[in-house]
Amino acid sequence: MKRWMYGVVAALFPVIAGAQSIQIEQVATESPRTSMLEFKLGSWLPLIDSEDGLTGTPYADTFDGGMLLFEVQGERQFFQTFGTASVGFSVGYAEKFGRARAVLPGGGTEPSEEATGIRVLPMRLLAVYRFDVGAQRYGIPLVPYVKAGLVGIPFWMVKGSGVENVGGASGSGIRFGYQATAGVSLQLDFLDRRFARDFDSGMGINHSYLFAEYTWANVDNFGTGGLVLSSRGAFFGLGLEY
Amino acid sequence: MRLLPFLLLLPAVAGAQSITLSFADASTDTRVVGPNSCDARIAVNYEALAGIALCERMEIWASEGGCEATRGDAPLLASVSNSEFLSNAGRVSGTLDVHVGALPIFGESTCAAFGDEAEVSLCASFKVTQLYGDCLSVQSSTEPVIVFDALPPPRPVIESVVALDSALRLRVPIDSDVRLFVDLALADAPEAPWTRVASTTTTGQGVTVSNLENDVRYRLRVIAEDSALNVSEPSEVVEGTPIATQGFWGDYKDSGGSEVGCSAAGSGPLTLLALLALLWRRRS
Repeated sequence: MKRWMYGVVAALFPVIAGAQSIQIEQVATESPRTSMLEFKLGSWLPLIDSEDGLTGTPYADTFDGGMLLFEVQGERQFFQTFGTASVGFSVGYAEKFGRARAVLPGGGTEPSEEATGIRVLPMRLLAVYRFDVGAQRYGIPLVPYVKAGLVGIPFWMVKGSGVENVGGASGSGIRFGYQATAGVSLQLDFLDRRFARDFDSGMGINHSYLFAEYTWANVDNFGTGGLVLSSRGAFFGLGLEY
Repeated sequence: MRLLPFLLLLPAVAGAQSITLSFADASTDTRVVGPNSCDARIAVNYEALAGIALCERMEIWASEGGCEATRGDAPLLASVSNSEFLSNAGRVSGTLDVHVGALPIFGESTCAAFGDEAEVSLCASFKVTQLYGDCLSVQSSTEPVIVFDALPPPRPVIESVVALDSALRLRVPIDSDVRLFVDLALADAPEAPWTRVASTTTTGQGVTVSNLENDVRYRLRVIAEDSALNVSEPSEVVEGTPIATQGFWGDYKDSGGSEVGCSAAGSGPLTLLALLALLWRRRS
């Protein structure tokens, strides 16, 4: 080969190499997925009045319906071969207030101006499986999922400015139980795939989801009696996978 | 020729000249005082950077019309001489005490007898030599204000008395910078003296009097105090009777609820331990 030909090849080499590297970057579009963060809202109606032995319906008599529960859930993924499995922890908060009842001197009660309420801080330890094969491989935006795990709900029953006390018993404690959840999430990438890619490359968020789920929770200290904070209800929220 | 470097430096020094005034014990630049503070002295910090080209001492004074104008015949609060600047490399700082009773706002009256609201600004200035020998006035960049308020707050109005468990809540709309004092007496003993039972900073909603006896009738009146410690006329007297109430926890227990709450061994972390022990026994 003539010397000038070596020169041409040498001059072209960086250009060719550069083109290859660009191609490689365009193919590798997604950063590794490791975690999921969820923000959700739902109406939470504790089944307090379903406790065995209750002679009345104190919850229904004091409060009007369920309360708005807000939860944040974090998950760590450990399996992504066929669907995604992860362990998660969530914490939420809800409160509901109504009117305390004035105790009449002759017996009986009537509504008073004093407020009474219940505050709860549900915490959940969950195993999660998301069937996202369709979304990951074929671009199908719907991802069904299931969750199961343990629940602990600290509660405080308040009157006026503090926790109510009756006969030396303070209206606070914690109840444990278990739950199962089934839901479906809508992967939002299909709305604007370029924006979704930019969201990943810029902020590391692989996918965004809107989801709806139904939770069946038995929170009655595993049937050992006492306050029942079981619930059945739907939640809606936003999920960020990163 | 020896003066040449000095003269060359002068413009640069002139550009850095400044005076700041601030209250020594407050982050705000406004202090509200009243007749109760006539003997009080308010500490004011000053910090001045004049360089070595001062041609007139630094003066600190109080002015009713702000610090835009020169001192004129306003009484001098303090001054710092040229020699003090020179001996401190052109920078001085310190604290002066401003006597509230001597502020130039009372006119023919006196501090204790003054019955209006007025304010003064604390000002400072000095003059420095410019390149060609003229004297340029430098004013303070901050302007702390002392407000003298001798006007009592409006008489509070109790809109309602809400009976609570061992407490009474008085709804009294007031400004946010007003504190409420509640005077209390037994209604069944009209000659009984008032007892002051609460003082609180409110948010416009009123005040709650706690630790009362249920089913006992009380007389109450409210007095407002503003930030200058001026006290209002007492409100009209109202009556209220605390009542025993039962909240959701009481309703639940009355309905036969078996939850024992936090005071018993079956709650909280102890419950968790008991449950774990129970599960362990079932497994084995």
